[in-house]
Amino acid sequence: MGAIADSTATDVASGGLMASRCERCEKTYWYARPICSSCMALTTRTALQPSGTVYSLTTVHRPPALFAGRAPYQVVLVDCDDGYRMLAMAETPLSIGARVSIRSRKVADLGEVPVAAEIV
Amino acid sequence: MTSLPPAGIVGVAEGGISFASGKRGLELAAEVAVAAVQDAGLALDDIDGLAVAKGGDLAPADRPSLELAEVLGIRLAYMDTTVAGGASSFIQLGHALTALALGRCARVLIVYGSAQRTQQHRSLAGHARPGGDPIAAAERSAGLPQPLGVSALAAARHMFEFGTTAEQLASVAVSDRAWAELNPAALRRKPLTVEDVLASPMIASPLHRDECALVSDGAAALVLDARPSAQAAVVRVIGYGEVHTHNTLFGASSLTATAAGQSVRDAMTEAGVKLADIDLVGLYDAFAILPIVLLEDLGFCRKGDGGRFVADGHTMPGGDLPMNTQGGGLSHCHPGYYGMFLLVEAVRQLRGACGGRQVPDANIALCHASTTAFGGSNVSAILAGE
Repeated sequence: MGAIADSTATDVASGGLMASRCERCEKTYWYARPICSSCMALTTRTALQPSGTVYSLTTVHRPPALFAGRAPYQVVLVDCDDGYRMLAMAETPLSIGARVSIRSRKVADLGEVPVAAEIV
Repeated sequence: MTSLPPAGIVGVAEGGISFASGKRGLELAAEVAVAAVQDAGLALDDIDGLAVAKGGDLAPADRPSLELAEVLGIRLAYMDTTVAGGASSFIQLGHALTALALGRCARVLIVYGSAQRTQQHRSLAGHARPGGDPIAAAERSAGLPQPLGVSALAAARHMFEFGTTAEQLASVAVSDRAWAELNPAALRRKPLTVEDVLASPMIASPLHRDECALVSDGAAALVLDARPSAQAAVVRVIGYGEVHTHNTLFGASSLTATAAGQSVRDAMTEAGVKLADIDLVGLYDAFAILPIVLLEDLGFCRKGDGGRFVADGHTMPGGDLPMNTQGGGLSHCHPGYYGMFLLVEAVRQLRGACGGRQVPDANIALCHASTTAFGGSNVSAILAGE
């Protein structure tokens, strides 16, 4: 499991909240992908500072190995304003429909993790 | 739609259903393959088509169909190694029917087997996926267990949109268990109540342990024959439909609706049957929320009413829509991919060979697999007895 766990942290850390944006129509994709499926143009990498609305959420009691010892924690699926969906850990307990911003935050032993905080 | 060939399912088998078979997936697959061929009254030499999927057992550079063909000592005119989660065996069934119709082969053996429990590469907390891949990293980045977490998010959203209750969700596990009590091969057979389910440990809210598929070993197989002999007990696949929409939850347009309506419409058109003609259903139930959504999307109840439909007892023994009569993935077994087990049970029901859990006058069964990040692949198969 070591290699898998390490690569997760590294991937998220090196990418931060990296997404891709279409060179032609500017549609944004997260996770990053090489082409725009709307207009068939190529994409370029872009850093995100997403905000959006919580679509759904779950409180994880039995976590994946990499997150062992942190449970319970809440994970939210966010409908971002730019049209993509993103997963994030909730900074404080959230409800469906809450407005949030997502930032990449350094978490001990995990590297960078997307964290959602309520916009008040 | 062109009419289907007279090909039929002439042999089925299950085996290795256990929490500790102590074997490898390939051993379980080979054993169940032989059992299915024997059930068909055939010999291995009669088989010239083979389809094998691997779930958590899949290793880089694996060639699952060739691997099993060599062990079985058979020469192939057709093979398929499609991997699309729990729907894989369904897809392989549909593609095999096409190959048989074209005359490319005469008899196709479709096999699934996994020793994921014995080999310990799977738990409710998730299974290992290769590192270094940005898509897998995105799925994992916030600590969501895979694949369970996607169903937890789907269940929470279904509760939010439609008022589905924890008790209704739990009733799926209760329905499965009521059937499992009647099936000697099921791994969990102790009577189960809604209260029991809600008292089982929370894994990822709102899903409790008893609302999550078992993590077990197991294998199942079937044999398709282009021209069944007059002596064979034949179950025919009279309708089939498949639709594929996404691979991860980031590609899903909704977590409360699937494309099941499209595949079942195609299957019903091909079969020339209506929902009212269906005597029993086998619906993929890796997690309790999935059959609730499928009952809605397939058209058995209105959108949002799936939880109430199950809680009202329609799917239970004695109900008007028997569902997962072997006990389903929640009580029978779940060795990674459950699709083949849905098909085998439908065949046995249509043969009238299910003993204490036999559905009276079972003539037409609808099997539906919806898998991969809550409905990325939807496949419907309608089976009919003779």
